Amino acid sequence: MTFLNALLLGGTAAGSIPLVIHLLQRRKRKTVRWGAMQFLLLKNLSQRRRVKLEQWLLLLLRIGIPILLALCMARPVISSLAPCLNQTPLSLVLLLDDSASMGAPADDKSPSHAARATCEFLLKTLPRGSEVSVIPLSNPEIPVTQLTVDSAGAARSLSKHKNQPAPAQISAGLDAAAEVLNKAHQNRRRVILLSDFQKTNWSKEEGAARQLAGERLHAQRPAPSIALFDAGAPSTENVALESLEFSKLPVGVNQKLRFTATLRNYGSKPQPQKTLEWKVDGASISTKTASVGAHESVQLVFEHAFKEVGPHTVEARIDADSQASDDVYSASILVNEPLGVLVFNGRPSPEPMQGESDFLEIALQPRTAGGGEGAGMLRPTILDPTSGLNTKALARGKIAVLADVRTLTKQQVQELEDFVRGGGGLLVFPGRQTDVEWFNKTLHANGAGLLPARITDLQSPPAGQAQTAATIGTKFSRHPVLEPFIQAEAAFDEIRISNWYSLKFPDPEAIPSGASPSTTILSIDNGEPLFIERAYGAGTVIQSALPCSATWSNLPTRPAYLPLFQRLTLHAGIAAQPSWNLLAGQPILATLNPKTAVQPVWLKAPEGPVVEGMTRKEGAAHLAEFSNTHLPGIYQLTTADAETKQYALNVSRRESDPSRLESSEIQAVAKQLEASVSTSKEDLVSTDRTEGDGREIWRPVLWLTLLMLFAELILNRHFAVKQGAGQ
Amino acid sequence: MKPPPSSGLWRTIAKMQLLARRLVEGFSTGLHRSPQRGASVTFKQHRPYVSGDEVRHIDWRVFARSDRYYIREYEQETSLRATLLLDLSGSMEYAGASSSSSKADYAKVLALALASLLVRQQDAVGLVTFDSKVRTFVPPSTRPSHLQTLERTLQKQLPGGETSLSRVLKEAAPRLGRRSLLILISDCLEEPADLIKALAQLRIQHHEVLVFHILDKDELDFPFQGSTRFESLENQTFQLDTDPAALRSTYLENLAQFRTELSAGCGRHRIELYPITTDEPCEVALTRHLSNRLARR
Repeated sequence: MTFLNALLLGGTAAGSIPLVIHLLQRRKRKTVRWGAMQFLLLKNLSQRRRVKLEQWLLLLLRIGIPILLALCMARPVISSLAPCLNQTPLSLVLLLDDSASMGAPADDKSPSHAARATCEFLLKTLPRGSEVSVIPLSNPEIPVTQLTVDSAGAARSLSKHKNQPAPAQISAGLDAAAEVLNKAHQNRRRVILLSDFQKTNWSKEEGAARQLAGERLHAQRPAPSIALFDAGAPSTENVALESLEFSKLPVGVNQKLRFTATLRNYGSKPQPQKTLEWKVDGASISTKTASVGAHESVQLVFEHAFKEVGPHTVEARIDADSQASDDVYSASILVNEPLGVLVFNGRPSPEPMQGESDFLEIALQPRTAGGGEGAGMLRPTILDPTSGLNTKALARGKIAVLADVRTLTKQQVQELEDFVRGGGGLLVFPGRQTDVEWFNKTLHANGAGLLPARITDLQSPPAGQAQTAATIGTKFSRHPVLEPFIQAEAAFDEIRISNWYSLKFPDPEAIPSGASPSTTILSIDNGEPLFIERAYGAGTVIQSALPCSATWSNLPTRPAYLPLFQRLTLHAGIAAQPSWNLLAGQPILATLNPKTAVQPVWLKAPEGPVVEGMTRKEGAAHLAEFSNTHLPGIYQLTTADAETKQYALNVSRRESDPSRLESSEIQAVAKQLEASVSTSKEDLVSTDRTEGDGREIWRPVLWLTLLMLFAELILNRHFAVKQGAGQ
Repeated sequence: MKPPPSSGLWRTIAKMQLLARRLVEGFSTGLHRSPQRGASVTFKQHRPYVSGDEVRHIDWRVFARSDRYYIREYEQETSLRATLLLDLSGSMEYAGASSSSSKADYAKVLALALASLLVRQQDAVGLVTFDSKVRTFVPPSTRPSHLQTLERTLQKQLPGGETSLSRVLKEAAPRLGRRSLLILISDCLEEPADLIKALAQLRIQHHEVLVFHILDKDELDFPFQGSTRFESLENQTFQLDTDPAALRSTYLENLAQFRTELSAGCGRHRIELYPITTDEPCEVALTRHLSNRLARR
């Protein structure tokens, strides 16, 4: 026997109270030395024995009542009757793996079919008074049925629930089961996890989390028994559209965008004729056929130039197979108007290419000057920082560039902060005339200002070395700005830097709460950052350690300058925009026009109803968030101003690999979770009978206590009368 | 065990002796009569002369009138042999809150009073004290100094031990002679049937038996309340922890039944039973009972 509130067992000490009272009364009792005992003492031995027995019975009752009451409060659980408990009500949690792999192949031989049939059997044969909850492992937070005694209703809900194109979350499911069992009423508790034991969902990397979740479940009182039901192997033949790659930088009208689709064959049979169809905005544009060998992958490329500004969708689809959810990949593309770039040149020059922003101006006007990836997307305007930096000018641009600006007025700093906070991009290039002290004090402000880092000393290469190199070889980061250089590391080889400002990040503890952390985009070979970025409100600030001119380096004269500065500028312009392309299940976060008031927005899910939500103000931005995004496909968000945004949500490809755990690995997992493994529903039932479930018996104990209480009252009275009569 | 009676008690006894003297003087002779007929001042009857009768007993006056010989018979008044049977068992030690003395002390005073009474009318008085067995036996004597002997004997005796009246009476019977007056002073806390049987045996032996049944007022009323331990005065191992209030009615019923049985048994065997409670002064109780006795004769 075990106790749920073992601490309250201390209350059994109350059983000594009648004894103590008896002893105290004995001490207080007066003594009379009496002659006529024959009228008090019982006449015969049997009567005396009977009275003694009655007294003992009363004493036992009086001692027993507080002990039983304490036992009752300690919630005793009896487990020795486990084999007879198959008809004892239980609290059952069914953790159903409803991931995509469970439905393959799509017939009655699928693991899903076996798992669901077992669930139905279990629900049908549940002992009366049992309660059950069915939790889908694709989304454990939203159960198919909450804990209910209506097992028929649970079976109906289960039959309506479809497999989800999402991976199974095992540890989250176990935690959800623990949460459900916290509210359970029955003492006999059972958790049955039905799965196909697909390797990706039962990976070794998640073993620790799984074990911890299992321990949390076992730590419950009463502890539930855990059973794993092996629903069988999913189909091993599957070709998946593994990924769809494209540039995430803003794209303009008529600008060609390249899409790369990767097909992977997880099966053991080659797929010689796999057709890939490309659709743009729902219309089929192109079809390609590819041959994919067993356990191989191929890439297919598609290029398209959008004719109109606004949101567009691209869909790649292959022939449906056993897992339909990974046969399609969608992408949402926002075709932009050209972005206005306001370059505040702090050191203009009448001489060609001697002004601080001359090189940058050429780089940002590629159509007329250098061309490049961002061609046509940027519209630079050169302005005088003293007279041109104001709210009116800032309203015309999306990105502002400070090129060797000495200082700004307070008003200008305030307007610039509002601009960035509202979603604008800012690039800060220092120069020879930059007032470092003012920059640090006003623009950095110990991490609270616009600048992500403090500018310290003007650095130069070590003695004997005229210049140092900024390379992207060893210092290369996976920042999206640097994507084109992954295959072209040599692009930075010839860059020489003679001086640079050392950028010092603020002490993490000194950063004001709510401020975003800084990220290094590119470093020079001694590890010092060259470009860093930080989100500021809804906008992005990129701080450079170098001027954008050729003052201290030969960077502007090298081929890397144009794409690098174009991408830096574009990145500053769009970085704060939430992504249009997400995984199914990730929340959709939309940034809306900051000038409008809080307003309703509507989200149309694929094959789903339109959901209304409200925007919320966060700083200068208006945000709208939708979290119920488990279905893959295109979601369309419409604002009250008739502005439309499209989001492409794709299924995680973790489910595509049908390989499953070996039997020994399943046993190892079961051992880790202290669970039994069953392969048939009969197994599952027989395991249930032999597991050491217990039954809480506080109710019968309480009844027994009440019975004893009444018995004590009645017997006390009865014995007193009888004792008198028997003298 | 209670201490010997105090000087106060013996003052009561002296008072009792005075009472005894007054009683004797008041009633002179005739408390009891001899069953033997013979020469005496009290004429009993005439009977025809038979051969062998003494000629001096012939009533010549009757012969003169009837010319027949009749013998004149007289009732003989002899000295009485009385024995006081005093119960000094443990139960006699009880002294209730409303009583000035224990039952044993009360019984001693009563015994002395009766002894004094009897000695003063020239009767022989003996004493037997007992508990479960006979403790002392003082043979009957008519001498006035015998009273001092009895007094000293009683002074030495303290109550204690168990009662076994029936056994004691059987044990003492051979030493009591024949046709004597036996006065039992006891609380009679024994099975009434056994006691009556023993007393009846004495009656069969032609003893006249008087029983002074001494009880304390507490024993009649059972006034105890609250958790109480009753310890037997006769047997230390007998004790009872109880709530007396719950037992009271039953106790009184049992006591009443006991007294009824005792009274009926005594009546059946012509044994005179005098119930006395110790809250009643000894002289008052004795006067009342002896007056009633004389009135009955």
